[in-house]
Amino acid sequence: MTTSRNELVPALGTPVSETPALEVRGISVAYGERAILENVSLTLERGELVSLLGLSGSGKTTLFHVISGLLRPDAGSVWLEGREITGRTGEIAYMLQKDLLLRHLRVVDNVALPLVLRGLPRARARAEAAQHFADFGLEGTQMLYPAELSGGMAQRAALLRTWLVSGAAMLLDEPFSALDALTRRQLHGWFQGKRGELGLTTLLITHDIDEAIYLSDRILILGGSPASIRAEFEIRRPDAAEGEDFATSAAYLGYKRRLLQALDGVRGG
Amino acid sequence: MKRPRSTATSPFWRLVPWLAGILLLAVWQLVSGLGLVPRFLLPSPADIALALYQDRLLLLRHLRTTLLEAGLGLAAGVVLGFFLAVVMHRSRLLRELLYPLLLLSQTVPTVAIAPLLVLWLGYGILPKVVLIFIVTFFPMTVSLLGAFAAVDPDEIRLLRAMGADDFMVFRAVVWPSSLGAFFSALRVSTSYALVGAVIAEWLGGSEGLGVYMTRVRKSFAFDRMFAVIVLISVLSLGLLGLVKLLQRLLMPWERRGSAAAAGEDAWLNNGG
Repeated sequence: MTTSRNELVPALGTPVSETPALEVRGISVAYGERAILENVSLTLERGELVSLLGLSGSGKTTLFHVISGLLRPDAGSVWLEGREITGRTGEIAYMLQKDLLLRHLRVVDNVALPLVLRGLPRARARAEAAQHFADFGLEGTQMLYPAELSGGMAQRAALLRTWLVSGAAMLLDEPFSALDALTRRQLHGWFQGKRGELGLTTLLITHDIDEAIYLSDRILILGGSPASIRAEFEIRRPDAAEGEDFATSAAYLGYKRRLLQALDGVRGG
Repeated sequence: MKRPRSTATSPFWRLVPWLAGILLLAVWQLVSGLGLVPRFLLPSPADIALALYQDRLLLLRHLRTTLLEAGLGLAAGVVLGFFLAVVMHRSRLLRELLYPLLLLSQTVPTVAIAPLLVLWLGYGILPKVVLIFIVTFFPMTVSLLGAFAAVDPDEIRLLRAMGADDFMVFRAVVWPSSLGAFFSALRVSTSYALVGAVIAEWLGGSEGLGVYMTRVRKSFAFDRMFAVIVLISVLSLGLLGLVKLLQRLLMPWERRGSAAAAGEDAWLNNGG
């Protein structure tokens, strides 16, 4: 497989099989008088995709800011493979809503940017980034500028950039929400494939219930004011052989109904 | 209202902007040449061209001085304007403190302080450079400040999440996003610099296009007067063209063309 990260990316400690990839313990955040998050805890096992589902303004993005180190929580801690990383940036790869490719950098330099920020010489960072372009369906786009990419390509480039430095886990904040429905569907399928192939460990923010069911192993519902985790659903997908039917299966609809009920409950409370 | 069809590419429409100028020159030549207006008051375009040619060596010498002053003043204005913008961007205290002062500095008329500068700093090159600095740093500082503040906060957040420090955030996001504003300001400052140099030279000195201008005016050599005006205009256009060229070179992503798409680097062939 060509897509194994090599030693160029700083290793993030030796993996210990029992420790979860990512652990968030009792996070509370308040802006002045207003409490945003209260005692939020979650764990992410290796290779797992967990979705955070919640209404707008439920504190999902605040939680991501805490996990990525952009924001120091008032209480609680964040652990990556057993190491505490609370309040430290650059530890966990974070992809924001928009693709946020910098328009003045060529695509390859955009993807290589986090490697450069980690101290890799530019040429090596470029070479390292370029190595994975084909795997992310980006062959031939290295020397283009972001403005010359299609929406799906830009999103894949941003994903590649995130994955390159993702070490143990990555945070995706509505990575597909800016795309049109067809491209999004396409990208979902592609992403599921990549996930299996690379064993990605992902925490995903979404407000798209279908996306959450389609992609997740587990779904956490964040809600209330201040927000906390209100419900947890485990999604059991049929085997890959019949996987294509999942989106229209009775099981799928069952999940959707339960999720909608849970979300309504959160809103009521 | 009728709109012309296919205006963009046809050679006719490309010629139109030149027509008015050519017509103006022709009328001017006729009016002067036929003696409708005395030639010492309004020399004909041909007279001006001749004066330009005859005085070319002298003009060249004066030109060198003016360009040196404009260049030094502009460089000082751009560099200090840039640093002032950076400092004011980073510190709210300095921003609030200096901004009114900055605005105030621009209400002082250039022509009024130029004689003072000459009094304080002598007849040499220094008062000119200082005057040019005063008129050029302001557009730079103000537009850069605006551009720095307008950077997408999400882009900054992304860089921060990647572990970038303030300097890296500035280098990778804030500065490149502000390049467009920088070049707009540079265009304004460049034309200010040239005009500033000439005005400063009017008030004293031994060399420079402004000095030359004062001398030919005093001797009523209006053909030479016009010649130097033409020279300054052409120079202005040339410098602005240079800035435009620089912008094209330094902001390749602004060119949408697929020229940038051709992967020319060797590593691509090796690595891909």
